[in-house]
Amino acid sequence: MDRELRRGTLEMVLLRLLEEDDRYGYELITALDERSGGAIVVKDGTLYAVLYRLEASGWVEPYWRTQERGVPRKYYRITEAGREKLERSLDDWFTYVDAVGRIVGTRKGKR
Amino acid sequence: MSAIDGYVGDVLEWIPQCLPARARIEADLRSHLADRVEAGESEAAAVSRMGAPEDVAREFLAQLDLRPATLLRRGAAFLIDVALGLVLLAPVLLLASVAFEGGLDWGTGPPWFTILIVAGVALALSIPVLSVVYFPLLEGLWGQTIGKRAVGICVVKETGERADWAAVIIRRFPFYFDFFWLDALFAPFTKRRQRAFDLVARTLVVRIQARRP
Repeated sequence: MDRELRRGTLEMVLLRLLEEDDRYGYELITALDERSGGAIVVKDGTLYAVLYRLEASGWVEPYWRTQERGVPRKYYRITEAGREKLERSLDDWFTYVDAVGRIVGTRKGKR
Repeated sequence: MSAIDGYVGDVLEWIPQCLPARARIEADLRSHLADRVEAGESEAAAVSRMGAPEDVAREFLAQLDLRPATLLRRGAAFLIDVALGLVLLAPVLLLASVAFEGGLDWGTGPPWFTILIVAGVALALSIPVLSVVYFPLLEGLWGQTIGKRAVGICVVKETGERADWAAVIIRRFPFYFDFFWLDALFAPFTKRRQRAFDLVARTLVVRIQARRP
């Protein structure tokens, strides 16, 4: 996938995953990889930079949870502002995808 | 040293010691790498997924809100440092004057006169000594002098990276050659409050802000 396209949508995708459930970094990386069929693979370090940005914007908040193994793990949860941001982003995204789809057609139509 | 320790150390090498976010970045990196290892990966494999240390450090630093320190704070930090220089140098000079009796007439002159002369010489010496040794050494090691630490500001590269030795020495040039005031005149008129030699060294003095835990 094109790097710029991936970068532009990464925040929205992460907010969507966090809307489903609170997750920690490794879970997010794994979910991105598995649910995108390997199309969205980000370097682990990049993920944290994006999470910092989301946090600075007030869209997610981190908290530490201690596991049974005794090692604390940092989870991220979406905030109300994050949900509102996600809703706006999804609206924009589907409007854009629909519009582009009407011009270039679907993958099936292309073939 | 384990692969994780080595990698985390390499990332932190780029991040100024004076930034509170440094501890958080370290904790996040270690926690994440521990999760990968717990999932069954080797330390080396976990580290290889992170990205080059300098790239990761830059990505983290790009997210930080680094705001230029106000001129008032910078001035206050400078005064504290000069005062420290005086306090440290004056007793040394006083002892020296006693040791070399010919220099100052300790026995017949009034004590306040001796103290005044010593204070004057200390002031004259303190700024060059501070410029050559104190400022570059402390800014190179920790990004801040005692004065900067006291008022909560610190020196970083324009990119947010740790200021290296070359940068902290270059930004002191105006002090070495005695055109500090001319250099400082740039600060009020530049967007990020940089002195002329901050611009040359590509350094910034930033306000340290506590982050949420």
